[in-house]
Amino acid sequence: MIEFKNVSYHYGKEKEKTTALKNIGLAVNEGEFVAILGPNGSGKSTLARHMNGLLIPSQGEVLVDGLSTRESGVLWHIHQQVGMVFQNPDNQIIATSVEDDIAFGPENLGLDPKEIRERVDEALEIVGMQSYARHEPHMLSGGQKQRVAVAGALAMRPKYLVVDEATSMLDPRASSSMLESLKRLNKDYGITVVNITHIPDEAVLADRVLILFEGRIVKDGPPQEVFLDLNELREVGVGAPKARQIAEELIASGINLPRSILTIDELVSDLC
Amino acid sequence: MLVEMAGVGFTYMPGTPFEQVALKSIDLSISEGEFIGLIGPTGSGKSTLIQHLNGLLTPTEGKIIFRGQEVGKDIELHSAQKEIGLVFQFPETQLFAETVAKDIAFGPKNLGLPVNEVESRVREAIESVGLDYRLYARRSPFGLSGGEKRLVAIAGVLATKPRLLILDEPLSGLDLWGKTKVMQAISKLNKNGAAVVLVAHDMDEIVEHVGRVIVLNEGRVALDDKPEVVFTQIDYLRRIGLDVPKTVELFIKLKERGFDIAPKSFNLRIVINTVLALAREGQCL
Amino acid sequence: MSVGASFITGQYYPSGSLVHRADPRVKLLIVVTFALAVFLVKNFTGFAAIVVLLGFFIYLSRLPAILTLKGVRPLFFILAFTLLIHLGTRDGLRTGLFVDLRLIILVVGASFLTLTSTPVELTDAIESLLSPLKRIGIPSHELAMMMTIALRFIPTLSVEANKIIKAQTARGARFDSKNPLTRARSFTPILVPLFVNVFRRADELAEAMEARAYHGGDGRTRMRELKMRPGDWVGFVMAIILLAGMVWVGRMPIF
Repeated sequence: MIEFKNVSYHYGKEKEKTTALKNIGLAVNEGEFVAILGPNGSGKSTLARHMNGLLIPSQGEVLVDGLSTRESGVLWHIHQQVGMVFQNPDNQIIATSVEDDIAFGPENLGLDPKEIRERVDEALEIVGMQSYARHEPHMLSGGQKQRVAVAGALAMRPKYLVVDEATSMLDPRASSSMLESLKRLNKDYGITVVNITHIPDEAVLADRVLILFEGRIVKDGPPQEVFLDLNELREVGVGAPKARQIAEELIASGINLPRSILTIDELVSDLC
Repeated sequence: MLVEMAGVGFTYMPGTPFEQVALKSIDLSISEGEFIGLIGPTGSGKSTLIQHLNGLLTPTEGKIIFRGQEVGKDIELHSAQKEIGLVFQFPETQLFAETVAKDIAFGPKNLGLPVNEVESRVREAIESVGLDYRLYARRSPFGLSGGEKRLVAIAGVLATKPRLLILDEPLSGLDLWGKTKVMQAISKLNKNGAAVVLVAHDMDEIVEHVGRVIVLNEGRVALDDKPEVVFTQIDYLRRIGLDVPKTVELFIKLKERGFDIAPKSFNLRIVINTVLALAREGQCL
Repeated sequence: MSVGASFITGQYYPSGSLVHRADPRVKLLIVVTFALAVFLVKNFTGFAAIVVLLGFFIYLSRLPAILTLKGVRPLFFILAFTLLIHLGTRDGLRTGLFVDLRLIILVVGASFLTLTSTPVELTDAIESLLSPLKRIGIPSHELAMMMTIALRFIPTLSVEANKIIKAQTARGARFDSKNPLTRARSFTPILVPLFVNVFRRADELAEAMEARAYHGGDGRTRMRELKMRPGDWVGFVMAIILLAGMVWVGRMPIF
């Protein structure tokens, strides 16, 4: 479990201090698929960086399986437990070949060369990039680079995977394949996934959606509940899934539809 | 006719082992005031094509005609360039000046406009993207939020008062606020008479705004028609790796269930009205 | 698309030869010895022997010869120029040819190295060869990491520079002014964004490295361990002996 206990985070000097997170209380349970939705500047990325100890709270505490990120002695263990994938595919690949990049994490953990090799091959297979093992990263497409980044995190055998806007620079095909693999990692491998996004249609895929606004969690629940009141969401800078928007227009025109519709399929079956 | 491409082909590094054909016999024309959506899978040649429209690339075959005059033959390249604005993907990564106003002034200054004209254009451009001149003009572009930076970068191109504005994925990575602001600015520009070519992956945005869709695939124009015609080619679009708007998906699925519908457009408003009409006829619900 | 990035001179050319499979440290040391040797020889016989040996290595590595010479082409003017200025002096032809030969052999040797070893192998080799110097304070791991990151980002940054130049050109920027001051200033709109982006990339990369438990070289292991096999030793010793012999011959007072 990743637990936030009354976490606040400020950055900048005393005089022009900006508060990015305010009294966050949150528990991400094992096996969950959580989406964190919010506009730019809502504190999403700051929240994500607290989950694996890249940022340490100004007040409060973040516990990963009971270990506080404040204790520098356990930090490397937390980095291993909580894998991260970032937004820009280019800026998270370190090595000059795909397999060497995936090996980077396990190498830092000081594992045996044979063990590293096994983990790299396994991670390459999970993301379907075996045939690119020896390719140079700059020759890959954006979607392929992100798969390498996921593999790099997986090679650390993490329990949790925090994905920070990883699809926002990808084309639709690459981003849906990315989301499918996240779903698969959660279902088949039991990895807890936290997907940070600003795209409502992406949040629908999660079991649980948190909405962040000005550093606070303003909503937390299953997507069907979170997207009930669209006006309220608009006020915090969040749109709705497209199918939900169409349903809302139809409801406003007097058609009787449930407000829990999130996909076109649900809309069609409720219409007919 | 504003711009025409006649038999345009383009090959990267011809005559080398790295030769790569990017465009093949492209024929298309863009009229004043049109709003065009340019779509195609990654690698289909979209970015090569838009770079031809404003002369950053010169065709290896065929010709580009600007207002009836062949570029490079009848008129100089840069006199055509002046009237065609190009906003690249993630344009905020090209901001460089110490203030927003100075950055936006870069384009008009390069046109050789007098100082007071540059100033008034900067003011106009900042306001046309929905930002307050007094609040933003003196700020550093590097201290702005992602969405604000994008708007400033677009304003930098608008300040040259293009008759044709081409935007490559102007919405990617933006949140609701940023998307709304950018689309408002583009629509306003188009309402004021400028032609717009919008390259975008987000088919829902395309279908809401444009009057014509050009589909590019493997360097050729595969489809070029009204959105309601193009988006009924759903099997073809999916085969080449493109999405269709959610409104189209809704229509297809209703049709599969046996409802007799023939939409005039896939615009959200029209789709809602068509579904409402169905409901009133008692077909649905 | 990043078409331009795909053909940097001297990029790894996989042919799976004996030379490709050899320990990269051996290749690196042999090429360094080559470089020393060309500065020590003083006659054409010595040069001829070195060229033959280098040619033999290229033959063994099954590289298309033209590829190893590709790096020389951009040097053509420098080569012609050095020859020309030496012609005016006493014994100028000889000295000029020597300088040119040295340059050509150095460039071909360097391309031989990068064509037969991947960037990963080369950085590993440098880290391993420098590691004994750690005791006297040479940060071998950090140097190798810097080199890896530089090699990784050069193509990315060249694509990015290209993009920025295009974007500013689209806004009417001109870079061809006759006035050197104006011309220098016209690069500001390219250099500023490039630097800003480099810093942003560096920040994000540092974060990504930390997130993957990077904490410097201590306690870090490697997936690939460099291991000298008997063949590597044989090749290494023979090459060094041959080169030493050539230097000896090359310093004799003969043609």
